[in-house]
Amino acid sequence: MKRPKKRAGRASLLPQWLLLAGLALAVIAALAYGGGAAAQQPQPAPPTVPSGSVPSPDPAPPVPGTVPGPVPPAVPGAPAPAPVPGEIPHGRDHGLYPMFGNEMVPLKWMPPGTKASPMPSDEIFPPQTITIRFNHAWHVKQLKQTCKVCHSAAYKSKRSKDRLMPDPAKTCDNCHDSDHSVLTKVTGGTEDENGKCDFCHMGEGAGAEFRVAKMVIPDPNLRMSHKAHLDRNIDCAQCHGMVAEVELATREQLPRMAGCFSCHAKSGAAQGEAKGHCTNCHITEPSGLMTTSFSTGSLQPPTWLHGAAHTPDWIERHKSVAGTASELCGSCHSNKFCADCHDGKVRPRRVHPNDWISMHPEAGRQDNPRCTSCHQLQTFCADCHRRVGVARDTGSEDRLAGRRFHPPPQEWTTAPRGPRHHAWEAERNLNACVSCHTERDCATCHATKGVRGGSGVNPHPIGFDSKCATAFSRNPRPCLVCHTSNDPLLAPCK
Amino acid sequence: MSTESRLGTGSLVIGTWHASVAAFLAAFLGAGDARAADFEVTGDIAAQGYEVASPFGDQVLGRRRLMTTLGLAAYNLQGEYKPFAPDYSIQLRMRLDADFGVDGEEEDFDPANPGRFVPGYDHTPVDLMYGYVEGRNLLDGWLTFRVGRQYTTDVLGWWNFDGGLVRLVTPFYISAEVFGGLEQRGGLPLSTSRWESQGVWRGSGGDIENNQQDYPSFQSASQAPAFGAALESFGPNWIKGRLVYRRVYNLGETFTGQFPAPGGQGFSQVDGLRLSSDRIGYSLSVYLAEIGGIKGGFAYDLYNQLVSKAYGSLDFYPHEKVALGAELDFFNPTYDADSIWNWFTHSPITTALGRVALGSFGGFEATASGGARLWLADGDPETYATAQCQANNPDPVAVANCLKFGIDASTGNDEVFSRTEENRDTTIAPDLLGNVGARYRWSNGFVAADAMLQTGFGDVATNRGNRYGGSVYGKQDVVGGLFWIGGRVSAHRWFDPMREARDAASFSYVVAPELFPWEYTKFRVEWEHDMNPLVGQRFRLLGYITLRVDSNLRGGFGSSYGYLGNAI
Repeated sequence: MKRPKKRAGRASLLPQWLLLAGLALAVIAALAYGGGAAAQQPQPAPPTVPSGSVPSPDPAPPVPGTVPGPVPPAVPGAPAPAPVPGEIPHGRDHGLYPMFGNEMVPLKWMPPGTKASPMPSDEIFPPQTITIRFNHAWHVKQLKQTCKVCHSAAYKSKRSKDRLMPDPAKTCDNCHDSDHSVLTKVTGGTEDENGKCDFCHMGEGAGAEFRVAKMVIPDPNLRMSHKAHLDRNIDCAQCHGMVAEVELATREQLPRMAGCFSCHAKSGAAQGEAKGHCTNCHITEPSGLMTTSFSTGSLQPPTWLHGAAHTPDWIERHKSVAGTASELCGSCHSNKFCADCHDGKVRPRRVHPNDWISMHPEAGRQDNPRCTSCHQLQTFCADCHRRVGVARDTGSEDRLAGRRFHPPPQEWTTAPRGPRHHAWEAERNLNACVSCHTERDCATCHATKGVRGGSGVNPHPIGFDSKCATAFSRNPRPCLVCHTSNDPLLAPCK
Repeated sequence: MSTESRLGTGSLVIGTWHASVAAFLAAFLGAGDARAADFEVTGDIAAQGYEVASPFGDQVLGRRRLMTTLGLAAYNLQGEYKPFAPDYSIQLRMRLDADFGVDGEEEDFDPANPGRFVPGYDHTPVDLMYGYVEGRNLLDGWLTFRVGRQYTTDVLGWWNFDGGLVRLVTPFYISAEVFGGLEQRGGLPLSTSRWESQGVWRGSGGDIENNQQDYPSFQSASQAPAFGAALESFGPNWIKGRLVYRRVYNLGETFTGQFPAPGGQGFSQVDGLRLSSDRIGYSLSVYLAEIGGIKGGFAYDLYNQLVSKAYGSLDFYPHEKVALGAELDFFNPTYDADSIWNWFTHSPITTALGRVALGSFGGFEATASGGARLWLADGDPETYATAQCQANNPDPVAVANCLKFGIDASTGNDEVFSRTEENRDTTIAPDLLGNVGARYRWSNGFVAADAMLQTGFGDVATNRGNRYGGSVYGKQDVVGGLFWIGGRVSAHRWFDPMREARDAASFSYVVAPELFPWEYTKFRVEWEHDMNPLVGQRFRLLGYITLRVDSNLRGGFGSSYGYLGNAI
């Protein structure tokens, strides 16, 4: 049994890797501007072709610019009817695909949000196996049947797993010369072609010995009340697109989240019933977090949801999403999930690869990744540096010979400030200093002379005077590390 | 402290740990009237051994680490869960992070090697990561509360405090939030220093109290009152904004002067309530599904009176599988208000990147970004020294002597020179950055690759070194979900002109088999082998166990598929 084809044609595996890696820019340009409408409307999925069906001897010619789909099956000996002007074409070679000949469904007939999400989510709407040939356009436009005639169950349905397909005994049999009242003994028409089992059913004998191919429509993984929507006069097309214009309705006519957002755009109390909170529609664990693992894959946010697509560079990018919309992260992730990386005790190699212990001095100097995102410099960093004897907590006189991490004092410490002087490094990345040194190290030179024990080298930035009074009034401690309380230099700040 | 006694302490902690797990399970499984709620017990145990060598080569830590966490949760305490109806839950997680590879000099002061002593060091610390009671959808959805140790995440950062938070969701497209309590601080019971502002060491124990005169920069831990408020949009989902304010205070006594005053007066001190941090931030995200989005935020430090961080990004979707973006990141380090480093001259780090993301093409995704990071300094490192010497004495001989023998930077003309604004014009040292990443996923595995480059330019005055390399990693189910095998190979090179002896290229590989003996239990072993000229060969062995049981005897690992690769 063939797998339904995605709207966007599936790439072959490894060769496409290489192609994409080599021609990335060309792909962007081509996809962005070269494809026109065809590029924005990938190929619709054909229905499953049942085993044993015979290809049509006269398949529709491929549409220019599209990928030809599989040849539609046809019943032997059933000639395709000639189209009548003004009439919706129908016949045995119709109703096999969303559009006759497996043409592309125009975007305007697709569910809202299709432009942003060409295919419905596999995790929410698992792949289906449709073994019915059915021409919605014919039934609705030509025979003037409404959606409710066949899908009346939707008007009472409050759960997504309710079966909304028509009861053939109450609907199909009204017009077709068939009797589905006992499903184990269905009888097909003897005179009228439209009553034969294989007029609608495909595969596994198509009715011989009451055997037709099984149709598989897995339960959607979401909360959904059709009744709630229909009671508010939200018609079918508002979520499913123009099903009346297509022949076979497939998964592709199922809603897209971007489309749901046209109404479900609000959250919180007193903002109507179309709440926008994730768990309004998505199913949850007992913890209240969204269920994200399904047999068909793991649910992940779309690109357009605050830029939260979990792309290969998500590790680098996620901070801006978490900082702006942390509630979105908390819909799926527990406290533990964040803590495992940000407050974890096992090194995440995606962040700290290779021999990180050897490499991290340069990474810290480059601020890439930013150490303070996860680490407290004076404890996590400096404590470990002390343990291995890198950090300096004692005077130079107590340090063992050769235990100097920086250039010699005449380059690194003393004036004048040469190109390798520590002042430049401190100005560019002060956190690197703080990851090893204590205040006393700095006060040795930068505290005032005399009681405070320093050398009086002023470390303050230009313009400091305008800020110091406010700072001193709120916390005098840092000032008093280097200045005595009666220091004249401190007077302007009091 | 002897090795035996340390191990004894660790065993006691671990024994207590296991007893508490058993007690919780017994209480929940045995209490019939508690079965209306859903409970969940989770745990991780990670044991790892590796060696860390000093860059000088003589000190080697033989790290023998054991980390274990225990998470307990009870959901739906009100009984049956009903969407949008009030619900109550309790969640907590505790952690033991032990290192049995510690040796005497780290815990016991040795005058012969004082540099290695870590005041207040605890080799078997236990902390409560979070523990709170939460109520949601109260008062017809208007009210949410949390009481206990909890995280908050917003533009001011990821933060943890003990206290209460109340959120009021109004019908006016906005929610209001107030919170208050005590910031989690290192040295307090069941706490770590992870959440404090940078720049201050705080701890506890006899070492720090008894030896603080030797370590005046270290502070004894004390409570840190904190409070804040936020306004957050609750309107259309395509827009999200949050305005947040937070203030934290320091309490307790601390040294100010770093050296004892002459005449035996000892160290000067301050005491009492004083500011720790005072910040306000705003973030905004606006996204339209078929067009793109804009996102940005900033945090203003009211104590330092400057913007401590800001970021912005602009995304454009020219196609449903293509995203183009530009990102800007501005970071100006700030510190606890007790720290002197706030008032040292330092500059923001600014990063600008362009980005493209492709995918998914049949399971294949790729991203690439590139740009620059700008390092700023007040003055020109190339010419500053000469100008500094000329300002003291323009005579060429004097200048030569000044450059050779140095000057006193605290007095006279030099002080005037360094405080003159035109001598401190901003100079920029740029780094070039680039990142590429790709991933291919299939039904029971994935393979991914990433590579990075960051390099400076010019001589030692502006070139801050370079680093480049990449990794290929992946994971594959080999026995129907029972047994997975993961691996990573990685090669990196780095060079720092300030420390040329530390120039190295390194190759590393990791092999990580995983066993899922039961549906929600995972055992993982990782073997890591690094090789480079600095360490020769380095090995790390890690064993990892993840457990989860809930009231329905089912559960999961709580990880999205894409994150399975992070640990590899």
